[in-house]
Formats: sequence, structure tokens, C-alpha cells
Amino acid sequence: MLDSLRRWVRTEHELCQEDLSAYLDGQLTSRETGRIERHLETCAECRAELEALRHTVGLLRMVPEARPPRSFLLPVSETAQQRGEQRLHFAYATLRLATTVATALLVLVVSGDALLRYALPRPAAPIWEVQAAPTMVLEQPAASDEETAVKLGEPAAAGQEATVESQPQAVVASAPTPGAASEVAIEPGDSGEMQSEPTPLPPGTNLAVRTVTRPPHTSALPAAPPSVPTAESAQVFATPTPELQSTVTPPPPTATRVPPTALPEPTATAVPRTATVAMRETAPAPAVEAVERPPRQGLLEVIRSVLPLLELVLATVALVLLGVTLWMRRRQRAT
Amino acid sequence: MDEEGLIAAARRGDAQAFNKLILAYQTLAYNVAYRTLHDPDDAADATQKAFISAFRALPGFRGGSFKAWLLRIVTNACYDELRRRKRRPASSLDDLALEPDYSPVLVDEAESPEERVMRQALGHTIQSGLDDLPDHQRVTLILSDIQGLSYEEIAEVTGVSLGTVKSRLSRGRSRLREYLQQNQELLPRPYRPIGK
Repeated sequence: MLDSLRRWVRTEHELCQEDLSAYLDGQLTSRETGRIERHLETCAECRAELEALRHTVGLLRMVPEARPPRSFLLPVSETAQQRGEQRLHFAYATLRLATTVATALLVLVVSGDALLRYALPRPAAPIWEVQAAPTMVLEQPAASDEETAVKLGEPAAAGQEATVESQPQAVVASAPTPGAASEVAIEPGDSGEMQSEPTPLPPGTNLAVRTVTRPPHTSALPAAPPSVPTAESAQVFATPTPELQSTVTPPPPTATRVPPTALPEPTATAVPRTATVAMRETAPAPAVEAVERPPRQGLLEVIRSVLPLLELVLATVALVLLGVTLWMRRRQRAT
Repeated sequence: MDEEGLIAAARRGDAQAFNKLILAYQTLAYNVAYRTLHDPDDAADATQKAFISAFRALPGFRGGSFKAWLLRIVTNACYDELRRRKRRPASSLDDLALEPDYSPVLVDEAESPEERVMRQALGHTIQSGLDDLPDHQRVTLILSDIQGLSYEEIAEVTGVSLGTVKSRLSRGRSRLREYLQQNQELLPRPYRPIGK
């Protein structure tokens, strides 16, 4: 009982000691003030402490004021510096924006890369490999939109390279065409009756569906097969007919690749308007390697190969920007 | 021009206007720095740095008490100097030891020469007691009892709560009171009776 009373008294005493300073400044609530004053009436130690504190504060207030040893006025050229500072502020804001944009781009590219890698894992490649001995039937070009024009090569002067123009919409044939014979219907246009011997081109020529090639008007057949660059295994029928338009039938809207077979004597007969050329592919058609990629596929590949570099560059840029931004922020905080 | 007008002009980069503000506040700023650092040169450097920083940071001044905002920059400059000293304690201690008790004070014409000398001696003793305090307590005590700032202003300058100001002040005063009691002989005689 007495102990607890003593503890209470001591606590009251300690509370008072803590609050004396604020009491001196009149910073206590009326309740706290009343409590302290009641305690002070009974506690000589706290009264002495209060007096000592009051005296100390009084002495502090008497401390003489020091005279500044010099003037601290700024040179007026500071104004220019201030403007520079404002420019710095602007630069900092721009820098922050650039950092944000670079980081966002990085995230975008990385996620796009991940999507390409895992969500769309190379869809077309296997299809190409399946195409063994596909048959091409070239029919008279209907007026349909699905018509596929195959440009085979320019029969012009030797040495001229056959070019294949492809459009990105070309779709890969989804199924290999059964059968070994292909019929090619050729409308030779105005050139009248014509017999064209398809000239086998060096393998590896890209053939794309929906590729329209309009060779220059030539009525003469090419004396020599046009040389095609980067041949790998495909064969292209060079049809020297001007304005040759042929439709590859089996897969209507698809890109068809000519099998890499040697065409010993393919005969393309061009009869005006209704001519049908039957082309026989006699040679065995080995399994075709996926050597050709339709344009979109090629684009994807290019993007795939470029992405890591792009990511690296973006990450570097973002990191550098972040570093500079943080450094500037620290500097600004310091000033 | 009043203070707000000067501040507005200085915000636009008008160094002349800011110089007028400096004239109004340099004694206060220097005294806070001097009592905190107890070195005239360091205090002058800290004050100058603070004014330059303040001029540059002025576009970020969001209103309120300019005095508290400025003193915050001054005390930060002082803390920087104190940290620098802690990094290189030897040279700083040497400087302090060699530093004569030089404290040119503003002359109060009403004061007699004897009184002036006594107050100067009092200033030295108090300064020694202040040097003995932890940095935060010293700064709080200087702002409150030497410069006469309110608790609210001190809270704004030091960036702490009112309760922290209160407790720092309480501890600082107790500690200084103890120091003065133990070093009564350093006090001029009229100021002596201190404590129990």
C-alpha cells in the first residue's frame, strides 16, 4: 500500500520533472498545469528544479547576439544562375518523363518478346516441311479474288534475276496437295498461241502466292533460265509469257511452294484464252525442307532476332536515364 | 516592399529582392549557425550556403513562414557541417581548440562596458554548455531560448512533432542546467546562483 503510494508519488514527480520545461513556456494544458502546480506545492525538489530551469532559460536569453562577420548578399549574377536552375528543373522533368517512357517501352518489348516466344511458337515452319510433292494446278485465272498469280521469273536477258514479289497477306498452304500432277492453266494474254516450256529455275526460289508479277511484254521465250539468287531447293517455273497469271488451285488462298524437284520436261501449253497446260512433275519429290518462309514469317523472324538487341538497348537506355534522374534528384535535394 | 512582395519577386529570379530578404534575416541566420557550430568561419560559410540554397529553392517555397523555411535550410547547412566534422574529427577539433573565444557581438548602446564584458563571458560559458549537448537538443534550445521561436515554428524548422520539440527542449534545458551548476565558476558572478 505504502509502496504503491510511493510509486505513484515518484511517477508524479518524474512527470513533473519532464513537464517543467513546457510548464515554464506555458505549453501545458490547464489540466496538466493544475497537476504540476499541485505537485509543486508538495515537492521542494521540483520547485528548486523549476527555479534552476527558469534561471537557465533566463541566461540563454541574455546570450549576446553575434554580429555577422560579413554580408551574405548574393551577387546579382545569381539571377543568371537562377535561370539556369530553372532550366535544370525543366531538364529534370523531361528526364523523368523520358525514363518513364523508356521503362514502359522496355516492358512492352519484353512482354511482346515473351508473347512471340511462348504464345506463338513458330506456327508455319512444320507445314512447309510436310509438303512433299505438291501439285500445282494452274488454271485459267478466274475473276475471283482468290486467284493466285505466280510470277515465275523474268524471261528477259540472261543474267537478270527472277524476282518474286510477295505480299504479306500470303498465307502458307495448310495442307500438302496430294497427287503428283499439276495442271497449269496459262492465259498468255495477247501473245497468241504459245507453247512455253517451263524452265526449271535453280532451287530455292521463293514462290509466294498472291504474287503478281508482270513481266515486261515479251513474246520470246527465255533462251536460258533466269538465274535466281539464293536458291536452296525450290523450283520455279519460269514462264516467259508476258502477263502470265496462273492460279494455284489446291489451296485457294495460300502460298504454294514449288517442290524442289527437277522438272525434266514440264510442258506448259498456252492457248489463248482457254489453254490448259498440264505440267507433270515426274521427278521424285523428296521431303521439302522449310527453306522458304512466307513474308510474314520472315518478318516475324526478323523481329525475333532483333528483339533481344532492342531489349538490351532499351534496358541500357532506361538504366542510364534512371541513374541520371536519381543523381539529379539527389543533387536537387541537396541544394 | 513587404516580405511577401520580396519573396514573390525573388521567386521570379530577382536577386535584388532576395538580397533585401537576406538583409532582414542574415543576423538571425548567422546567429543560429554560430551557436550551433561555435565557429565564426564555419557559421559564415553555412549561412552563405544556406542563402544560396534558399534562393535556388525559392520556387519550391509553398508559402507559410518564410523565417521557418529559411531557418530550416540554415540548420540543414549546419548539420551538413557537423557531419563533415565528424568525418574529419581531427582537423575540426584542432580548429576548434585553436579558435580563440572570438565572438564579436552587436553593440547595445544602452549597455555599459562592464555589462557587455559580462554578457560576453556569459555567452562563452553558455556556448560551452551548448557544445556539450546532442545536436538536435542544441539546435532546439538555440531556436527556442536564444532566438525566441515558438514551439510550432521550431517544429516547422526541425521537421519534427510538437511533442518531440517539447521533449528535446526539456532534456536540453536540464542538461544545460546541470552543466552550468557544475561549472558555476565559469559564470560571471551576477549570474551565478543557479540550482538548488
